[in-house]
Amino acid sequence: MKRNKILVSILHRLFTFFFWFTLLFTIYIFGFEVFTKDGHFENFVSENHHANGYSIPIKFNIDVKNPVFNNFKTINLKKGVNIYGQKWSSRNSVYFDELPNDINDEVKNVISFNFYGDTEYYTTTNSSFNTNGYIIGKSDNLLIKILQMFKAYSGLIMLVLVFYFLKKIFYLIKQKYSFTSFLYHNVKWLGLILIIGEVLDLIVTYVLGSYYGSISVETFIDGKSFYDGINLTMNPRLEFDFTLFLVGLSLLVLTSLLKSANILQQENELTI
Amino acid sequence: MPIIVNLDVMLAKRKMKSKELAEIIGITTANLSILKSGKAKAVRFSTLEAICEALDCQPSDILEYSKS
Repeated sequence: MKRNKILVSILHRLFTFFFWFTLLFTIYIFGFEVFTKDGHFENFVSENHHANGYSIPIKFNIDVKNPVFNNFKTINLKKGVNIYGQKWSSRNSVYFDELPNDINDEVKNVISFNFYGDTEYYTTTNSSFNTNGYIIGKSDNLLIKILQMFKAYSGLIMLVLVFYFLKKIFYLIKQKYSFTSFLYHNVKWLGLILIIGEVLDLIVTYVLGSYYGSISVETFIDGKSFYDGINLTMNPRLEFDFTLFLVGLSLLVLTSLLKSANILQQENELTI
Repeated sequence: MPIIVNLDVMLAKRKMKSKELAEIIGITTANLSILKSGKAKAVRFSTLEAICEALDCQPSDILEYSKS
């Protein structure tokens, strides 16, 4: 019991610190957004400012044309000391296998894992790569601009609210180690914030993504489009953290349990 | 609630104060007040036994059922 109280006290202090820290950081970011031009304030520049635009979630698809799979090794490490007493080292890098005879025909792209030493640990025959990321983009459309601003700050505002309710919950537990009505109301709000935040994120990314098809990168050589290199396309991506959504739903279930525990406790306290 | 607590009547009959009864049966005066005012959700058999012993009465002298 005593150990639990110490833990609750530590968590309360920790979440109080996080709450004030994130709140001050949010005010600082908003201040730069509202009161400065493109994040510049005299000689100071805010790195967090969205002068170049706001992030749009995308999925990168990298497709390598005419691939040749051959890993790379770094061998023959030589070390020494020069006449000035400075240490130096040099390496010799070569392919594991000889390059195929048709390597000089047209365009070829060699896909390699790089290893230090003579041993090859991985090989691949995959010439297509996918990853999630963001692209910074601006819009002249007011609706999209508002949605982009909302998307940029919603995560931070959600974090401030989550820390606020966690701070409050642990304060209530610290004050009275029992099932109070305030406790389940705060747990309910915490769950609702997580669910609403994730659903809004999903809707906003859907709307942002529906305003464009894809982003492509095209290489020109001597004024002609070059198709045999590395093909990079970026498609709209929906952003939805299913884990946080499930945590929010679980907190709502926990709320109903806390509510019934509160009723049981009241009845127990009124049993003479 | 259709259960009426007649503890006040029994205390008056025995000319005993609430504070004295609370001390004899080992509960706080606040809890005895909850019991007297009918706000209590339940009464433990051990509490009922102690009250009956202290006031020399039957449970039916303290609790009464009334259709309302």
